[in-house]
Amino acid sequence: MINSLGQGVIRFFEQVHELGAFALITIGVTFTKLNKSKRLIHPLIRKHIFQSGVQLMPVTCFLAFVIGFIVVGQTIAQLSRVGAQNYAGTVMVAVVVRELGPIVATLLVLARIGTSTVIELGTSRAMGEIEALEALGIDSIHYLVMPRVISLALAVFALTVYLLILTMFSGYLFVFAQNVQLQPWTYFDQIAAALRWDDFLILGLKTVFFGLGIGVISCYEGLAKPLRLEEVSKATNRAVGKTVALCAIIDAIFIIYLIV
Amino acid sequence: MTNAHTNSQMSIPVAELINVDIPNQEDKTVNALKSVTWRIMPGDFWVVVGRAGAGKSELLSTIAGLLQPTAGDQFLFGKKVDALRGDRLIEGRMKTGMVFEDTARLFHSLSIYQNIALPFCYHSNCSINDAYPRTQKLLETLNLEPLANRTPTNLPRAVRFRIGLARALILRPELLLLDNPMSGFGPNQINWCRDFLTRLSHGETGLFDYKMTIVAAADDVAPLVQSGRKYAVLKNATLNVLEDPVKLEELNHFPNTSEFQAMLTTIL
Repeated sequence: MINSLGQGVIRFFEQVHELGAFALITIGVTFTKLNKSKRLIHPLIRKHIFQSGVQLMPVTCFLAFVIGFIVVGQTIAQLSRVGAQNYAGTVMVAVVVRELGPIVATLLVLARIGTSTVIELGTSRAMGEIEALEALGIDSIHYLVMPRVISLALAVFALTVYLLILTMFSGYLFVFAQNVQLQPWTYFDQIAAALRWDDFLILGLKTVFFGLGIGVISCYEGLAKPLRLEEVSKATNRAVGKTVALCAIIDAIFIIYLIV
Repeated sequence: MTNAHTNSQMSIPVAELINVDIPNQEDKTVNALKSVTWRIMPGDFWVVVGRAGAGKSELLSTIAGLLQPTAGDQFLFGKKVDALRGDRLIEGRMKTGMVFEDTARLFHSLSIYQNIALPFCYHSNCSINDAYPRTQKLLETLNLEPLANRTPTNLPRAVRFRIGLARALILRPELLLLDNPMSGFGPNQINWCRDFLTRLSHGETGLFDYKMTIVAAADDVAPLVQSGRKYAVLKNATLNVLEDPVKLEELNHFPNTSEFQAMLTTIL
């Protein structure tokens, strides 16, 4: 048992080491080659932003309305029954802005884009396309990884912002529909009062880190090691598991910062 | 063009292997080829013959700088390969075109036009549309024009080979490496391909005004016999160069197939 525990710990640190190295290489390439072949690479970044951001807007709107109804509408309705509607803003900021919004947007992007990234890159790797890229002198990190990582970081950030704004509005819509005595300006004043200046900073940092996590882990699992076609599905599972774990760790770090 | 001519004038080998051990691509702890010493000069057309698993792909990947030898010295365009880093390595790869076996390893998410234009756009900092004149000429020459907007999925092997060839040629390489070309082709496709490669090696395609150095590795030697000018055999994990016809008796170790008889006849 101690043996298997030890092996597990060693595997964990090996994984952290490999992922860290892959992330550092990606960061290095991003800083040194952002403008190299820009007429090819920049449209590629825009294409990935469209895929991972703009194309996810309809489902983001849907989720915002669902969260607005389930979480915000219900919570405020319950609070008003016990005369605690003055805490609506505090609850909104603590639950939706700090936690639920970024996590929902991240899980959405992971499910829709992260998994397809692993499958796409894993299939390319298994079919020998990455070797073909290298043979043509094309840096696979520059051409395949960098545009995806940048676009995923921006997409998670932007989708979270849209999700939060829509959730607040849809939440009030349901509050209004339930005849709760809470004026709209009171509701938005409470939210504004509950927000701290560092909430904006943390929201930005957290969502960018979540997006970077999805990008780096999905690209690493699809690209970094030789794969056979039958291993692509396992690589996708691994990517999802690792991304969720990484996001939980990042989230925990920010929670500790907020508490302290 | 100028680089090719400069190399030719100075007689610098395009690629050179000195006592090189080459690992197996699947299992890098095992050597696929041992003590390979080989010199490829500008304008050569090498035909390397070997059975499946003899190490043809490994040999070509090593020359292209994709597979690192476990021992020995390797030079590409006069420069030691393990000393090549960053832009110099990319420069070496741009001068070396490679067409891979079977599926040609085309990019399945891109159209045929994009597959061909991609390396040029990447190295010339142009958009995919800006590469149209250069790509169009290759599409026309290789009879790929009607397929330009299709993706390469489900295309016959010969067509995929032509796309892979166009993709390799768009960077105007000095050295062209072909892994098992014409394998599974019909007679017409073999004739077309043989003719094209011969014209390419003589600088007569109208695409380039220099004679391209070609190395073709194949298990079926018959289609390539007439095109090649130098020959080598891969057997028992070694490369036997047959530049000198006197050494032809070494060929007796090779299976006595009718195709190989044809090769013998032609060389003799």
